[in-house]
Amino acid sequence: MRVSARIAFLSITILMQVRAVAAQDVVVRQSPSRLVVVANGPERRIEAYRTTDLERIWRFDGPRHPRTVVFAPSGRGAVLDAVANSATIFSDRGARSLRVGETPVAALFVGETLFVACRDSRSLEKIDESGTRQVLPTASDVSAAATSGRRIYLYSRVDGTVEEFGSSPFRSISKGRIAPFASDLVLDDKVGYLSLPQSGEVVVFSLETLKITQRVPVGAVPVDLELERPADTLSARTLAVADPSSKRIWRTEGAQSDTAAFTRGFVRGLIGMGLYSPRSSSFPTGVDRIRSNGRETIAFDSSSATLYQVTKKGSRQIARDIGSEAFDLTSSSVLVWQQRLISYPLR
Amino acid sequence: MKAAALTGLLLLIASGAASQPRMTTDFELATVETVIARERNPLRLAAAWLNLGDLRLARSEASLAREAYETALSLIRKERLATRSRSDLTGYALATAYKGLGEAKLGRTSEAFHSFEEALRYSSDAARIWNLFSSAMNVAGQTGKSVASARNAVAIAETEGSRANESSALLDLNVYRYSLASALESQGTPSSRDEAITLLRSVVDSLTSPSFERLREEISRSESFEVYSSAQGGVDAYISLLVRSRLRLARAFEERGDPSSARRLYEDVVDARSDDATALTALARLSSTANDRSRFFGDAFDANPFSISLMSQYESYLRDKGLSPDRRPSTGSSVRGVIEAIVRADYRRALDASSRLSTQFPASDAIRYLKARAHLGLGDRLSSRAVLAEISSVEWKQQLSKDLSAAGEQEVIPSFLLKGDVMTRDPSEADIRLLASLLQGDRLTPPQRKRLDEQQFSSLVRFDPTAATVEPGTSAFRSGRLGDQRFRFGAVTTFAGSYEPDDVLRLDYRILGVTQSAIGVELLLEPLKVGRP
Repeated sequence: MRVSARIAFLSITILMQVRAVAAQDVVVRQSPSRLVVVANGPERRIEAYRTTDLERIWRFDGPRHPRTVVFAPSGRGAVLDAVANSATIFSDRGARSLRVGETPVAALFVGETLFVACRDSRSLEKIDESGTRQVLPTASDVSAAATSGRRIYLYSRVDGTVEEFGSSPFRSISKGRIAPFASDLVLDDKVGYLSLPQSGEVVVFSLETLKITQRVPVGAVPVDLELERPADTLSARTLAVADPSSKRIWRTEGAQSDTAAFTRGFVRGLIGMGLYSPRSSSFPTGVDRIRSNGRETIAFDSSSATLYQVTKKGSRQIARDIGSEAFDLTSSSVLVWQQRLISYPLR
Repeated sequence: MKAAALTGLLLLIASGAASQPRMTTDFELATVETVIARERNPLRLAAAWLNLGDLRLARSEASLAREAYETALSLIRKERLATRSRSDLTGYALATAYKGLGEAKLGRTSEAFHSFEEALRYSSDAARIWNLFSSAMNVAGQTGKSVASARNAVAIAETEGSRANESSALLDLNVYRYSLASALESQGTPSSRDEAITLLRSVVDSLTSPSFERLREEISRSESFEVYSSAQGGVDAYISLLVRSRLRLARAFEERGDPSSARRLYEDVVDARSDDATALTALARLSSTANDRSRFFGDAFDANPFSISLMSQYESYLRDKGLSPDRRPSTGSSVRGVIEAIVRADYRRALDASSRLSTQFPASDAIRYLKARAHLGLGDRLSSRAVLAEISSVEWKQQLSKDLSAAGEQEVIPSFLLKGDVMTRDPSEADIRLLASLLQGDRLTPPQRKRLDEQQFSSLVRFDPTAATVEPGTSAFRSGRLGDQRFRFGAVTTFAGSYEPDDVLRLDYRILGVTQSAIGVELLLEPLKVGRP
């Protein structure tokens, strides 16, 4: 995807003081303790609901612009506010807000320790249970974070690097230049995948060497990645790729280790299979976010704010006019925030 | 203003004002409106509406500015869906970035931020999207994000530029360096200001280097002079960038106490564009003779008679020096006449003149403001407050509120100063802001001041983090926010209890005064107690 027209845009800095408009900043996520946590920005609340009857269990003060919610195995969680530069750590006993570096874009727990990647301060912050902090510098424009074992991997878009950090002791271990300007990162066992919308590829890299092992053309503009099916002795892991330009979701088989391939007796590599044709009315403007629970997959179109369930025959619209983070998939339903929490059963 | 460049368009827009010199802003408005009338490309059309909004804002026409921004957003939303529908993801990313810029101009920071995040999923390799992001975050006051985004734009453009090696790529790179300098200036630390000055110098040096000789010849042939906030095309971008870089650099020199370097740069701007209101106002401010000052003020008013900064500087100057400038048959002259009448306390004449102007410029908050001042001078507070209600611009509203307050209006005194309570729990944010404004202008009467000194307050606050080291079980804070109003203590203060910055806490305090810092007016408080609400 290249830009052909050249238009120069000059900035202005006329400062306006105008009324603030409430944004639709709502994040819905299921916790490991089978509660649904809703970070509701307009109401500045973090709330937990039982998945069975959607009864609210607790409610605490929350951030104004929630965008990311992550959980520790115990059910403790953290909400990032990338606009106000805060991380709100919560459990069923309360919530407390911490100021973090500029623009926290990604977070994860390793055990009960929180790690927050702050893009614009170029830092990775480690915050343990007692609130003690350590900070390490990162490359510029960190856009994604993921863990494998007790290691943390940060992807930096402009630099095109993946940096590996140890969680304890907290230190930078290694760094490899993979590919710049990727839109998504997922890790699986010993490999990582990056989607490159500009070149229409998914690159596979080794977590051991931080070097590219495969470059696979997938669709026209692959934007979002999701690991769907776990690997077994008969088949490799399945990777779903959202390609809004082709108005398709591609399913490909994930990379296999030599041992796994040997066990199955063949090497498949990555093969693109279009699920829906561009003429299909299933995704009129193309979907760009995918979520899967291993058995069911849902997809979201950010341009029209429409959520779909991916079915064997095509797709089914679940809800419209919802925020791009205001839904989550459980084992049997899709939970959506539409002024209140609504459960849509999967068919 | 270079007359030849204007001729063609003046023929189109001069009807009804043929006997008067045109205001620069009128001409700029007409130019942008012409673009709007003929432009068919949806994004270029939206950019023109955004430009129109900026021009309206510069004329203190906030409600018209808002309408222009909303129109731009409406066009952008349609384009966003259209590009997505036809699988043009590059176009979608650009439209989404423009959506973010429009949202930022309308004060919708969160929506703007998320629009840019969405755009960058598809086009994080596009320096211009990072540049738009930087501009939007600067407008929104998010200087850390603005600086980081601009650095990304520069880094990408430097890599591309080293490959392309064309003057167009170099021009783009200079645009991004300028944005980075703007963001660094807004950040306001000594090191960021130094870096901004270095960047601006490099931009001016680059633009005046032989690399742009051909572009300068083209500009000279066409006598182009437009200055846009969202420039499109090499000529527009070059002129806008050179003018704005020189203005910013000059301002930086002024702030560093180097008026002669500043003056030279302002003169360079006026040489290239004789009607630049900002440069003319600065030259009036820096002039050493009364004649020069009078001439530059006159030219500046003709360029933009509705600038709050110009009007305020002119009034201050009149009050100090009693200047009696020359008369020209122009809108700028009429506005100066109203200000001069106010300074002479000839409010009847000020009211008549401002009423005439308001029929000519019904959407101008600047004229509304002058009219309200005239009403106030005549003792008609009711009419003055009626005009206040019509003003859209927050800046002008605050200015008039201060004037009303200075005139001793009881209803603009915070309610807690009207009561005899010793403890006021949860004073309203409006009352706190009003008090800060009164304290800043030193406009409390001695009895009101005494009453304030006797009172204690209790409010919900959020503290800023400090670098102070504290014992376990204690917390140290120096400053924070009380609603939208910032406050600070005289020194870092340690409290019993473990609290985090941004926790909502209840603070009992006394109000000592206000202090002006780089981030604005802050209330100076004496802390009495902190606890959880």
